[in-house]
Amino acid sequence: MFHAILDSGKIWKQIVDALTTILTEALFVMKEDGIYLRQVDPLNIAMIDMVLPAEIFQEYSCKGTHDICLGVDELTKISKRMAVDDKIELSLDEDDNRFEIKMIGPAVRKFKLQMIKPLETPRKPRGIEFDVKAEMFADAFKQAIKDVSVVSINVKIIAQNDTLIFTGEGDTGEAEVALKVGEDSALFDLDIKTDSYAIYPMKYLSDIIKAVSGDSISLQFSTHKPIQIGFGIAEIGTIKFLVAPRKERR
Amino acid sequence: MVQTRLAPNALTKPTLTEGMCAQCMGHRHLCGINPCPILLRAKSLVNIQSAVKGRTLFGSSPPGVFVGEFGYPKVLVGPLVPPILGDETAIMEKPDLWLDKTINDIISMRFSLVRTKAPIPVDSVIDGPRFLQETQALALSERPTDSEAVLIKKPTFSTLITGRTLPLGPSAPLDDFVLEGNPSIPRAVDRITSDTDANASTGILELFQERVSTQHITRLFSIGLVGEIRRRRLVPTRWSITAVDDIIGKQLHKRVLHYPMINDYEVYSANALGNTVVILLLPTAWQYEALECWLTGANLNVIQDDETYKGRSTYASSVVGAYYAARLPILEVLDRRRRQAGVIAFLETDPKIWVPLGVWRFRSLAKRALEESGKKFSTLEESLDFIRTKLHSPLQIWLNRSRVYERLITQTTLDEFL
Repeated sequence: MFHAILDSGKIWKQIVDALTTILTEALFVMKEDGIYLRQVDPLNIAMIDMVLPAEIFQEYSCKGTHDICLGVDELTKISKRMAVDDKIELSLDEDDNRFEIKMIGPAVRKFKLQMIKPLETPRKPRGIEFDVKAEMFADAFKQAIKDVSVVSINVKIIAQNDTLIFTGEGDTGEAEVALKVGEDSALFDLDIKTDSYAIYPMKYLSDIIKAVSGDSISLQFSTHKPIQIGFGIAEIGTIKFLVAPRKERR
Repeated sequence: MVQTRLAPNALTKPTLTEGMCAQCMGHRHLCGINPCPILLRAKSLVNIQSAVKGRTLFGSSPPGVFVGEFGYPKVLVGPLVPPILGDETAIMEKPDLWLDKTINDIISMRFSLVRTKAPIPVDSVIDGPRFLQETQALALSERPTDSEAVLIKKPTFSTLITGRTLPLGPSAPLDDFVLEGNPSIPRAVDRITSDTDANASTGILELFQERVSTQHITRLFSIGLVGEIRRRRLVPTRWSITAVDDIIGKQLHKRVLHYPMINDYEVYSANALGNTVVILLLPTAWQYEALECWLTGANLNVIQDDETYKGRSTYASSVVGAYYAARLPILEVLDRRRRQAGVIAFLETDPKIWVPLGVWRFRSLAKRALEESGKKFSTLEESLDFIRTKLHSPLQIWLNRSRVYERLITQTTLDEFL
């Protein structure tokens, strides 16, 4: 049994936006204390780790654990039909193997989605140690990625002293965005154990920034290791992306 | 006297800049040489004046129709009618059977088809003028149909080689068109085109599932016989070819994403008419890249477009139609094998042999390549070494442009860290 009510369609939209960045099908795990999703993209380059505690829902009840796998395309199409001030009701029709999304606004609209057989099982959580931890305004990060994407298909992130640098180079030129940590800076916290740098695929980062909904984000990475991009959703929920680095070519 | 062969010295000094032909394909005059030397050669092969006499044209249409794009939304439409009677004309619209013909054969065959044309708004497909209704009836047929076209003027030769459509010959303004024979309409075609509630994508997919040829689907789609009744339009042939390739491809793409991956690197290749297609299948999730290169002298330029497992939402603006034409047979084969793979397609064209006759060649060559048993390799390097022997240009220039290759060698995966 699973049943949940969300007061705002906006949050559900943000959740779906986050899923579309790297997934073609979403495997939700409904537990008694909330909804979990941890999946790797088909090319095994990025992972999304989403935790939606029961408290972000206005009503939440779940008996046992349910794995619910849905096509992301279908979810997106439905969420496009949603008004931001609609109340969203989610439930599971176990007999019919369908997932029900009800939008309650001026009209009550009900969509039933066929659940699909998942291609893989949810990933187990594994901790990774990071040498650099940065907290910054989400907008500053978005701008930095967009700036570099003008010239390059990769972005190199460098952390040294009190500065975080985003650079890239391509056939047409180079770009560099530097952020110094400080009170007035968009980068308000930078914790560096050792100076680090790594290169990440632009395609993934530029998709991910589209899904960032919070005001601030946290970046964590190490030299030649994955980067973790985390932000909050509905105050106490979290969405974390992990993106594998690229090797320097020759 | 009409010249039918071009003097050989006209082509000895092409001042074509690298990569230009691949983007121009004979109709944008990018190189500044007017008329295009490649087109000139095509034109010289056909003796138009003697092909058609008089104003009444009687012959068996293969069947073929053409919808122009100039002046959209008011376009020139009409059936393609050769001054020849009989079932042999069928081959004129069946490029699948052309790979083993010579270029001269193809051109003279195509250029004996007269493109008739009459102006009509694209949205007047329902209860249109008689010539259009007859043309639509013709388009439904799968076999050549005897027909009579009354022309306003004698056919004149204004070459229309678009690089994407099949080559087109002389054209003439159309006065009236009637079918003399009975079109032979496959049951599935009749059923699906009579469905006036399903949208065009659904119709196209159903036709594809009923094994109606892509040529036939394109013909039906472009003459406005597929889709929801109020939204049916004439679709310029050039657009409809790629639209059909893409609509079917998108659907297959969705299915392929659910299949397990292949285990090895697989290479398939085919070569005909100055074109080479090499297909490299990779043991990864679906990603597709088309690389195209025209062998135009010392400085070769490779153009590319690619997509990842998510498919693409924007038009492949560099490789254009060829991107979709080559993708379709690859997806078809993966779907049939129930396997998923990453793909790099190398499309090589030698303009000294080839004249721009349409993207069908890449579709047909990719199909032919995949029909034969490919070679399997356990490493990427081995497969690339083999590909090196199949291409006429250095492999490195292709790889330098390839995004998928770059990803393969530089991108790490999360498995290495988790």
